[in-house]
Amino acid sequence: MMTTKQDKLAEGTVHLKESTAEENVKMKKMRLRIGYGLTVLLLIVGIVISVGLAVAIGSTTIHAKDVYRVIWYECFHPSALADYASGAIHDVIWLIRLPRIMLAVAVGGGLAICGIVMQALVRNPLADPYLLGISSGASLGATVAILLGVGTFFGENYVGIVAFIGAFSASILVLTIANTGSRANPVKLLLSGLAVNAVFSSFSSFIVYVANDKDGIQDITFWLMGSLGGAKWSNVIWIYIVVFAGMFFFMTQYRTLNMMLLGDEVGITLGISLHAPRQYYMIITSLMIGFIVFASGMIGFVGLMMPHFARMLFGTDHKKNMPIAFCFGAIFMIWADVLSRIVIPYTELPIGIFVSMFGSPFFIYMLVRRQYGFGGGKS
Amino acid sequence: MKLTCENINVTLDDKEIVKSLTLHAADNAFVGIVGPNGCGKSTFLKTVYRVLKPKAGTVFLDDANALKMSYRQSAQKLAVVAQHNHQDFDFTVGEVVMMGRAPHKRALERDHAEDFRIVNDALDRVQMGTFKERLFASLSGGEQQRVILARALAQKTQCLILDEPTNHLDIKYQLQMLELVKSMKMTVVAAIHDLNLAMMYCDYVYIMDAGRIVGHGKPEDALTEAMIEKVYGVRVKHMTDPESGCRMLAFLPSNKTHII
Repeated sequence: MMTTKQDKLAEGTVHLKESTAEENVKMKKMRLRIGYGLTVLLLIVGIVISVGLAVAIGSTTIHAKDVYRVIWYECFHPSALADYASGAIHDVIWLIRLPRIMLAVAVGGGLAICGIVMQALVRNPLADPYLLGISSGASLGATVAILLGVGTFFGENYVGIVAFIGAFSASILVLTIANTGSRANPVKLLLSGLAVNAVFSSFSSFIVYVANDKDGIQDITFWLMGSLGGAKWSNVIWIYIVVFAGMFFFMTQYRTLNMMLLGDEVGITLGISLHAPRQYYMIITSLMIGFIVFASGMIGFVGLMMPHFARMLFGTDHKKNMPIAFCFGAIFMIWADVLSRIVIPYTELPIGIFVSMFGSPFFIYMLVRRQYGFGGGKS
Repeated sequence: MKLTCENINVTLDDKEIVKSLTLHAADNAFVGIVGPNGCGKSTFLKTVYRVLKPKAGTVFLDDANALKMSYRQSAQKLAVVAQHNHQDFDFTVGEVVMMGRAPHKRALERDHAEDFRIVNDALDRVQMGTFKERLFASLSGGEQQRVILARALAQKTQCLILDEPTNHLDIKYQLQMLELVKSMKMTVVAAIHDLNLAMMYCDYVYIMDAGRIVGHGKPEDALTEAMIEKVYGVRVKHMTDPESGCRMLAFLPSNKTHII
């Protein structure tokens, strides 16, 4: 009697175990398989709709229909839509609001891609695109430009250009330091980034202190908070070229990016030396980030959060998660910009403030709860 | 594929770890390297799979100098299952094994149906076929190790390096893994901790001590009682199971540690 009972009990447990294991597999499958292509398609549609709505929302409300008509006219010049060729509505849409929204798409998407790449480069899920000296380089550039008037000959957006130079030279400096002595590795990159950050910010503080210029300091503060307000088609085109070229390049590099997470030794046994790619990936990301900083100042957290959201849906394989992250970044940035324009009527909040308000709690949540790791709930 | 290492010298931080080591592995042979902890087995294997650069010496795969190949070329000929693989990323088992196809891929090349077939086949061979969609990080150490073996198999190489591959495995899977590796038409060079396993599976063994080869030969000839006592400092007795005819080593308590 006893034995049969025990047997039955044992059988039951085995059964239970099996079914949970099966469910587990099923859940994982769902996470991966719910039409990847469909998701990307939906997200792209999401971007298009968001652009239309975001342009329509503002101090004067415009019909979303008109928005698409103006865009359609400007792209293809059909005679049927000749009514939309000029006039107040056309100007508000095409010259004021749309460049800004389109810039939001490129900035958000670009930051997300750079975030993913940077996290793979240093094998650290808490890395963000500004990590390796770029943020302090950009601030020093902006400080020097605003307070000391360096680079005024660059013309109207000289602050952005000097910030770009600061950001780019900071990351080159980080690379150089990380490669001095022995070859660069993720830890050395992180530490050199920290060191360069410290040096550059102390110089910024020094200049701020010595210059003692209240208006200038306020300018710097505003500039560092980030804004998409300066968008003009002539700038936006360039950002698009750089961001999309960078993204397509990294899309071709997904195998190497995957291997960066496994480390240098595994990389070699699988036929790729990661040393060289690590260097030029970093140069390419700092170029992209430099351009983004030039166009919009410093907008934090997008580059940190979007990669994590993308990984939650489709895992760590960079082939899959880069397009998703780009779309997330774009949509997020569009709506963050809309909110920053309408939350306080007739005032525009710097978008960086807005993003950080939502971003920091998420960062803390991630830090204390589960995402310290590349999304693998275990660690 | 033959694997030949000639006069390998490896220095780490000015310390000579591997001293003038020469090793031959014949085509499709299973060659074991045994020796106490810290004798330089792993360091030596790392130079063979090119993670470390030797100060002197060469590694030949058939007649080609492996150290002069591109990493891509050598990864097409030589696969590796290394010691520690604890990684906390969120790749699925299928994605991990698919990385084994990387050495055969150009930058823009897609994964073809053939690659998926190879991946499935490799997973089936290590009996992890049903785990394809699971997250690698959620597996036990032993399961992870088998997935890494599947990745190495997916590389479709003729030569396999195992660096203490059975470390995390239960005895069942230790035997299974070595049996599987032995059944394949591959030249295998393996660092093996367990001398009994070395006896069972190796066609030939090299015994290493303090960076040098101190003996080599067929396991039953090379792993003599005297040799093991000299290298490991333990007393051991050769035995043969009367039924199966299996050779094995029995370790004896040393005289000095007599418990009162």
